[in-house]
Amino acid sequence: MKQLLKWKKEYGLVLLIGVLLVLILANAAFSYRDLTRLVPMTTTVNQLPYQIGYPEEGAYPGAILPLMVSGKTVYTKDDIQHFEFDMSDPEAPWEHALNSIYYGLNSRNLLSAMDAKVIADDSLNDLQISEEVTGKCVDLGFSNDTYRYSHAVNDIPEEYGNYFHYYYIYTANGAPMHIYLGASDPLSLTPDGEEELYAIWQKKEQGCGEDLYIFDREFYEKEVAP
Amino acid sequence: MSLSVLIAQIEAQVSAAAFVRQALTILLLTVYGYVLISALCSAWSFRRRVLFSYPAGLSAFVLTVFLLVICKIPYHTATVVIADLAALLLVLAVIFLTRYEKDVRRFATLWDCKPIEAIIAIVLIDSAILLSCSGILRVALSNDSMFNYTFYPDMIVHYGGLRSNFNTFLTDVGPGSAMIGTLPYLFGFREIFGLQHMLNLDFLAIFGVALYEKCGMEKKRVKVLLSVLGVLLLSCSTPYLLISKWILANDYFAVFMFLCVYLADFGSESGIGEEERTDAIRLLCLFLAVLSLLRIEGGVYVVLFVIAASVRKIGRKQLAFGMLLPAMFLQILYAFRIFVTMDIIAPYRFLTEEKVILMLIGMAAALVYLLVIRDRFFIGMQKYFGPWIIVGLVAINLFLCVKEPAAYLENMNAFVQNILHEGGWGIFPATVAVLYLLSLNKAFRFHFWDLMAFAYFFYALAVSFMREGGLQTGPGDSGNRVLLQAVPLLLFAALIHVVQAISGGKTEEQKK
Repeated sequence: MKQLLKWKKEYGLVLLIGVLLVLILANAAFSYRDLTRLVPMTTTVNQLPYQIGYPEEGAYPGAILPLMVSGKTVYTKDDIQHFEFDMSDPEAPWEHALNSIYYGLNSRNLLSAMDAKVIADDSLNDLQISEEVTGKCVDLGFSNDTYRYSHAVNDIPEEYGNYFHYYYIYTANGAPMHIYLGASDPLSLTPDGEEELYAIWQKKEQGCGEDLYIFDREFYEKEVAP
Repeated sequence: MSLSVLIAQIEAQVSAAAFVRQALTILLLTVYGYVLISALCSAWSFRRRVLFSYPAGLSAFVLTVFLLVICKIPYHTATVVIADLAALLLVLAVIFLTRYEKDVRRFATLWDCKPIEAIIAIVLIDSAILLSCSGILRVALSNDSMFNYTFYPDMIVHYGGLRSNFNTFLTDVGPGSAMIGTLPYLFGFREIFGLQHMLNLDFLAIFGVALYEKCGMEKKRVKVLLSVLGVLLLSCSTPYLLISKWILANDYFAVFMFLCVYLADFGSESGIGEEERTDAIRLLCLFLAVLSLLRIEGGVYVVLFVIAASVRKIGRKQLAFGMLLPAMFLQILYAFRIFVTMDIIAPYRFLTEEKVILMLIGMAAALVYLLVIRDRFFIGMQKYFGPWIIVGLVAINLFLCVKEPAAYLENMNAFVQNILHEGGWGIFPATVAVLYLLSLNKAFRFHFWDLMAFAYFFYALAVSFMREGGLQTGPGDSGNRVLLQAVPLLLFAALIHVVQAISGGKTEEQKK
């Protein structure tokens, strides 16, 4: 024992440095192996929260949309549906009202909150985006989460909006929603691009919710306008 | 149209400006923090002041803008800048009017340092800022990163303050973290990664310095080597990498918690005078107030912290009036703002009126302890107050376990599963165990850092129980992330033991 203590006293520092080095290497090896498996990592050299790989994952289209619409005039449909919700019966079948309560309201408010100047134009109300047009657009990803949190931009009294959004996101009624971009020239959707855009929401054919289409003027007139 | 082309075009238009603006914002926060810290901690060396500048600047920003939104003052760039400058002037005025002449004289030596020191400090800070903002350091982003800490702060700026429709954001996101998240939208950049990376780089430097101060060896070179190895060990460990790269509030909380413990322990090393210690307590008051706002349960941790910190030589007035009451005041303000002036109806909320009342009762009880009982009653018991705190926390956990055994055991099971397999802990538990084993000798003592680390562990178990609904396995579960916040504390506590065991089992202070 005495010998051991003496040895520890003489070589303790070397032993400690050795152990620390081994621990550092072992930890580094485990981190290298496990870290990206635990949670996806990304570099952010473009200085944007939005990363180019997101559409493949279908994530966070709302993180790039503000850069496309902020400060611009955006023409939308004028067919928002919204009615007062009866909170007296919490057990009432909420899903019956989902389409109506949802339609257009959150899209419009999100665009406004992104500092777009929204102009509702009822001449756009009957527009239907065909599958062919959708095929010519770029899919920016799933927007369900974006819409889930859109309660923050609504002015719905009694905050039932929040209940609704939770309900919506956690039930099978909520179909996967998308944000699509249609532009004749990608530059037109950049911050310095065209000053006027079109934002058309369209109900999902099945389930609840809506897709949102952002068009520049040339694409809109060529491909979408009746 | 190709998305990659579109993103490239957007990047070309905004990235350079965003980079410059973010870097400048961090630089200004650092300079602001340096001036503030020179006023608050005028006895500190230039190097130490520089080291703590960024967290001090960030803290001052958080507290100032928190008061802005609580007082319903429009939250815009101009009001934020004016309020921050006014806050700094107020601090300077109070210090100049109330403190001794020598403190004022010392503050006048704000830029008084060796030129080489100044050059090195400027080069290191600028390099750290550039590296932080460059985007080459990887980050992890999840749903909460994008909404709780990006979208929500964006909306605070957009609407110029809080509104009831923010709803669960108000009750689930720490207001301090949300305020940090508003910086990009106030100053024209797009993301918050650089702010967090800068805090991490600064923190690693502080961790190294703290370890250096704990090394009892004679040779400087050995102390530097051990400090560097300690920093490397922390920065290579899986749980630290996980928490420091994940854009959430946990990293900020972990860093500020470490800084608070460090400042509470400040002065236990040789060569640190009473004036420097007093300065550390001032900074501790600032950091603890911010810590209470960084996560929604922050106020609960403040109770634990002041009780545990009372084992150190910190005056009862400092603990009660400098640390506990300000945190209590901030919690009351926030609760009043969101529960009294707003209607929040949500299917699930972390913070509820009942929890706020419980938290305030806990704070009031701690206040009574500090002002009435400490050093007056149960003196014998207070000599062993550290172990009693652990016993108390174990008792609270046992109570919760007896009250709702199924739920508690489910949580405990999730914790164990996370630490052993699924929570991103890697070999960290084994690393800490090895370090403790290495340090076992006759001189082994349970010290302040052990108390803070282990007390936090039991605190995390109890607080996670407050969440309602069972904890989940996986790195992203909030219970697991709360526990991950203890990683720097745990490692530091273990490292102190081992370096002190090698240096003969005594600190510099004990040798004297």
